[in-house]
Amino acid sequence: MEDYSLFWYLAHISTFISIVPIVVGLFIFKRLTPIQRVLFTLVLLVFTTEVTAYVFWQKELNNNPIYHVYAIIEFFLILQIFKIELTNLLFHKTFNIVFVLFLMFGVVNAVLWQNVFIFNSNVTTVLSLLVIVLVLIYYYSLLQKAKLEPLDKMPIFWISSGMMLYFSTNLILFFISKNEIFINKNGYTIWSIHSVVNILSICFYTYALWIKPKTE
Amino acid sequence: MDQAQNGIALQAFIASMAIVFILSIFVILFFVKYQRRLLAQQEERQKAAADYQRDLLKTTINSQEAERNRIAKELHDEIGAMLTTTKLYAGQINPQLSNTKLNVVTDKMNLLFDDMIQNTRRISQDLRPVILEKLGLIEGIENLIGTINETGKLTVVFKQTTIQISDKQMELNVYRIIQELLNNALKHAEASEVEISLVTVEDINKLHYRDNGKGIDHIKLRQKIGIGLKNMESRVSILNGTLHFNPVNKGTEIEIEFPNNADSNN
Repeated sequence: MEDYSLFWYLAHISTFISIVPIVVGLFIFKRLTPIQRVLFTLVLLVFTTEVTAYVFWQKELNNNPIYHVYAIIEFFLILQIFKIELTNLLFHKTFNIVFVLFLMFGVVNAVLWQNVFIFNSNVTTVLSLLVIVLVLIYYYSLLQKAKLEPLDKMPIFWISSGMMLYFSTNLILFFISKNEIFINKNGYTIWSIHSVVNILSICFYTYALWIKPKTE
Repeated sequence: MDQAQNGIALQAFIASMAIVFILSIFVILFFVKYQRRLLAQQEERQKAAADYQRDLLKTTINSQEAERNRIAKELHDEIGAMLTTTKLYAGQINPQLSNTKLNVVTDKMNLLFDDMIQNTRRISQDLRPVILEKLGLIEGIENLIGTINETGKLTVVFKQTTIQISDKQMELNVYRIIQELLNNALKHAEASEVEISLVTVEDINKLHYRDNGKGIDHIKLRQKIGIGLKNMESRVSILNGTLHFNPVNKGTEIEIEFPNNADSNN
């Protein structure tokens, strides 16, 4: 019973914590840079999705269809962030091609392998891998920069770090989420870890929205 | 899968998540630390470059002031004094003066005028060598070396191939560097032999200097003390070149390289 209550707290904090970056973003919306504005849209999407999924869960309705749509929009927004940052390293066309391929994979996955009422673990696993690759490309670009700027004043660094933590830790979770160890008490334990990492990444996003970069 | 197997799988799963999480933290921290170090190095380099430029500017201003003082002193002590004496002689000239005395006075005045012309020419020569303007760098250097060799205190050997210095300002800087090197050999190095070569290899001009004197103190060199050394550095910097002191057992060996293009004079 103890474990279940901990899960309950963590799940609720994880669901509603994205309100914090939204409030921060609303207060300083005018001075947000293009990257920060896309991040703001992303946390808005996260909050809307989490709250909707929570309401569905409360009403004992299957909320998996929400995550099928969410994964596609989430990846689109993440691509927009890196498109702004990695404009000198990758062609815009590359981002568009990657997105179209991902969209097609999401649709094919929903039609053939994991219908909209099943958790889309295939799509979230691929999404995690792609985001990790994007973050690594960003880190590589950091080493190539001729003019260095303090990292703690760069929103993209905190966004990338938050994504790195979230997607790399949850990659295995998404990959084997269909496994039987996820049932009952075990499932709660594992999803609690997901909640903790999610809370941590939202903290990174909040800071990324809060800071005022020197140049963008 | 029974409960025990489930428990092991769960533990393995949590452990792998924890490892990935720690690895991610490690990657992030590595980048923060690495970038901070690069940033510190960049700032250090910028500071060193700014200090160096400030130092060169200070040296240039100081040497300009020293040169002005020297010229003022020479004008006052030599030309000024001669003019005063000439004025005194001129004051002696009057219609009652006998021809013999008049001849003596005019002879003395002529001698003073000759000295004044010679001194004025020397000061002007020091300021901007006429030979450099009329005959070019090589003739100018050979003339300078000839003058030093005539003193008998130092034997200077000058070797050169067809060099490609076309710019007058660049010529003057090279001339001044050689003048400074020879000045150092005479005043401080206690050298008796000097070798200088000036060659051009693929658009890069190379000035090589070597003497058999007592060498330059390494501490002094590291701290770049001495207005002469700073002056040389300043001129090499104007030439967009490099100055390198080669380690030798006895004496001093210096290599200066500078490109032969217009940008080097900016």
